[in-house]
Amino acid sequence: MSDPSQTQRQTQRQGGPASASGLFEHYAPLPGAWDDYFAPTGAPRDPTAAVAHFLDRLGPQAFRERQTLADQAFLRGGVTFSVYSDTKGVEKIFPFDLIPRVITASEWATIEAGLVQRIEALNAFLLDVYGAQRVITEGVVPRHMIESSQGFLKQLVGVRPPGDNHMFVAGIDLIRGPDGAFLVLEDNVRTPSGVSYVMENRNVMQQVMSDLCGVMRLMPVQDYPLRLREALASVSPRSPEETRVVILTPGPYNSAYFEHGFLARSMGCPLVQPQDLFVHDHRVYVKTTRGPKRVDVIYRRVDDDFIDPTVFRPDSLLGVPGLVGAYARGNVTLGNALGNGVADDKATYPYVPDLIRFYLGEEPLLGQVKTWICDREEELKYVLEHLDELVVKAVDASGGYGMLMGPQASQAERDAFAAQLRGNPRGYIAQPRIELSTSPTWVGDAVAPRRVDLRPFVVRGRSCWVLPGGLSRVALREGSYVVNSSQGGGSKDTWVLREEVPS
Amino acid sequence: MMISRVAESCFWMCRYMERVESTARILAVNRAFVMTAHLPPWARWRPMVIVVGEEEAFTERHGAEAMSQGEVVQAHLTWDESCPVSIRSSLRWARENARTSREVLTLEMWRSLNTFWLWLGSDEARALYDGQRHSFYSEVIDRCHQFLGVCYGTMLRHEPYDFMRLGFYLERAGQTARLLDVHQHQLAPAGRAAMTRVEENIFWGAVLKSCSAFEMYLKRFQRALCPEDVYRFLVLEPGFPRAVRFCIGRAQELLEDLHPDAAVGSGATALCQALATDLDDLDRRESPLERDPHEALTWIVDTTAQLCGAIADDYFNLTTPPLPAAGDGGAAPAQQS
Repeated sequence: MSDPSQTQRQTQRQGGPASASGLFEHYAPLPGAWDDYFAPTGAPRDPTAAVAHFLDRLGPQAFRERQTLADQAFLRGGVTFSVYSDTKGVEKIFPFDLIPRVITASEWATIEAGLVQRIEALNAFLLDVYGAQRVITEGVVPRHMIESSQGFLKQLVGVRPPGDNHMFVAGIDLIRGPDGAFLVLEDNVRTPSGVSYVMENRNVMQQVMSDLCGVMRLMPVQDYPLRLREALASVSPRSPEETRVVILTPGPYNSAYFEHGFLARSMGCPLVQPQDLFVHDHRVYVKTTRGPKRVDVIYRRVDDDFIDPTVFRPDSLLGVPGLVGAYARGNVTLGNALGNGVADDKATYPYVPDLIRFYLGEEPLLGQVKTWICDREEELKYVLEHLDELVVKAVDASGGYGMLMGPQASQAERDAFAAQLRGNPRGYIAQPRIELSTSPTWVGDAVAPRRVDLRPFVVRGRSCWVLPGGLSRVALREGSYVVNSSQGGGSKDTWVLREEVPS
Repeated sequence: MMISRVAESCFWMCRYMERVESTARILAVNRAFVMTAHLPPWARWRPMVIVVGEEEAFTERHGAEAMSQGEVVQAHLTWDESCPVSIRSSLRWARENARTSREVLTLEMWRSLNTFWLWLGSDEARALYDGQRHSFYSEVIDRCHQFLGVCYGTMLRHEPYDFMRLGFYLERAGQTARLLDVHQHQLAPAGRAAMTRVEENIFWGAVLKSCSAFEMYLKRFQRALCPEDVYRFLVLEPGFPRAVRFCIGRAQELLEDLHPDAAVGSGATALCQALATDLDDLDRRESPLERDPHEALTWIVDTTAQLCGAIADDYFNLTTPPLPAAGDGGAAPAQQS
C-alpha cells in the first residue's frame, strides 16, 4: 500500500533499516466509515501520505519497539488516570497509540472558527439564563427545558460571574461522519478533562518519533497552561499584582488527579484540596505555612454539586463551606463559573444551532448530530420504537456512563433502558448511531482501523483561543464505538499541520 | 509561603524515604553480623524488630518465637503491607506524599521515586530478594541515595526543599538514637564486661555500619573500637551526617530560615534549641556516658517526636486565623450585604 517513489529521499535521510513487511501491508479500512489515512480504494489520503509512508517503512518490529518505549515513558512519568470501578491498583496509564492523527491547516481553520462561535453562543446563553432570560421570553428554548435541567442552579439567577465569563475552558467533542466532515457530538463546559494528555502525548511522541516529528511542520500544543493562567487572571477581583490563582482538585483519588497536578506545575499555581481552603467574611483563604492568605481566582475541578456543602449537597466532603457566598458577592472568580451544566445538558444540545443564530446572528459553522429529546412525547415514542437503531444517553452523564448503544445491546438491556426512559424521559436523549471515523491503530501485533473522536480545548479569556489539535480518543476494542478512557479507550497525538509557506 | 498540606507532604515524603534507607541498611548489616557473631538465636534479629518499633505488632502477627527467624523478620520488615514501617509501606507512603505534592517536586525527583516504586513491585526485585539478598538491599539503598542526590541537585532552594530536609534530618536523628538505645546494655559497664574483644569489635562495627558510619568513625578515632567513642560519634559528632547532633544542628538552621519573623514557628524553634543545648552539655562532660545513655537517648527520641509535632502545629495546622484585618495586604474593604 505504500508508495516508495513518493518520498524516497526523505525516508533515506530518516534512516533505519527497511522492514521486510510494511506496517500497513494488511490494513483494510472499515466499509462505511471515513478512515483518516486511507481512501476506500486503499490509496493513502493526501494529508497523511507522508506519515503513512514513514510508518509503513518503519515496519511492525521497529514500531513495536517504539510503542514499548512510549508506554514505559508514561509509566515512569506517572502519567496515569484512575478508574472508579477499579478498587485495587488505582492508577493506570492511559493507553497511547503512536500513530498520529493528522489535520490540515485549512480543515483546522474551519473547526477553530466553528468552536469559537459555539463557545461564544453558549457563554451568551449562560449569561442570559442566569440574567434576563430573553432566550425563554423570546421563545427559543422552553422554560421547562431549562428549569428542569439538573445543571440549572436557580440559586444563582441574578448572579453575574466576574468578567461575564462563564467558561474559561471548554472541551467540545467532535466526530467525523462517513463523508469526512467534522460534527459536534457533545459540549463539555463544566470541568472538561484530558488536556494534560494532549501535552504529554506530544512530549512522548517527540521523544520516540523524533525522526518523523522533525520533518513535519506541526502546530505546537504546549501553550495551553499559560493561556489558561492568563485567561483566569484576567478577571480577578483584585489587581494583577496581588492576584493569587489556585487550582482546586477533589484530591489524589480523583480520576483526573494527574491532570490537576500537571496543570498546577505547568501553570505555576498551587494545587489545593478542599480542606486547604476556607471562607471567612465571604472571602476565600488558603492555609499556608505563614498562615491564611487570600485567594482570588480558583480554577476548580470539583463539580458544582460538591463545591459548597452549605448550598448544594450537604454530604459533600469535597467542598468549601461558604464558597458560593464569596462567589456571589464577587470576591472570588471561579473557572468555570457555577451553573454551566444547563449549557452542556444533552437536551440543550439540539438547541445550540438556534442559540448561535439567536445570540450571534450567524449560521452555525459546524454541523451536529440529529437528536431526539425524550421529554417530548412524540419523540419518546419514536425512540422507544427504534431503540435497536439508536444511541441513548443520560443528559447529564459523561465518561461513557449511563448510555445505551441500541444496535449492540441485548433485548434485555434495551427493555431495562426503555423502563428507565419511561420513568424519567427528561433524563435522556437519543441519537442515530453515527459510523464514527477510524484511524489506523496498533492492536498488539498489527495495525487495524479503530474508531476515534476528537476533543479540542477552547480557552476563553478576554478572547477565545483554541488549542491546535486536541485529544483524539480511540476505541481500542474491535467494533467498539465508545472512546472514553473509563471504558477502555486510548488516545493519539493529534497533529495540526502548519500552513504551507510558499517558497 | 506554601500550602500547609503540601509542606507536610514534603516533610513526610522524606521521612518515609529515610526509613526505607535505614531499614534496608540495618537488615543488610544484620545479615552479615549474624553470620559472624555466633549469637544465640533469640538475640539475632530481635533488635531489628525493636529498633523500628514493631515488637508488639510482630509478636501478635508471627509469635514471639519468630523473632529468632531471620527470614520472617526480613520478610516482615521488607514486604509486609500491614507493617507500617516495612520498606514497601514506607516507599508506598513516600510516593503517596510525593503524588500529593508533585507540583512542587521536580520532574526528576518524581521519576526517581516512581521508578523506584515500580521496581520494588516488579518480579525482578522479588527475584533479587529471593536469590541475591545482599544485592537487593544494596539496590534499595542505592535508589534512596539517587533520590537524595536528585533532590539535592534539582530542587529550588526555597520552602518545599526546607521541609524535605527537615523530614530527612529529624527522621535520621530519631533513627540513630533508637538504634543506640536498643544496645543500651552493651553500652553499660556490665554489658561491656560480657563481651570479648573480638565480639566487641564485630558488634560495634555492625552498629556503626548500620548508620553508614564505620569508615568515617575510623578516620575520626585512631584507636581500637570502644563503646564510648561509638556513642560519642553517633550522638555528638557535629560533622557526621547521621549523627544526632549534626541532624539537630541542620534542623535548627532550617527552622530559623523558615520563620524570619517570630510570629510563627516559635514552638518548634524553641524545642530544637533545647535539644541542641542539651547535646552541647553532653559534649562538655568528660565522658558522655556519665549521663545514663538510656535516659539520654530516650530523651532525644521523645524530644525529636515532640519537635515533629511542634512543626505540625507551627506550619501544617494553621487552620484558624491570625487573619489579616482586611484581606491580605491592601485588599478592598469588606463589602457588607
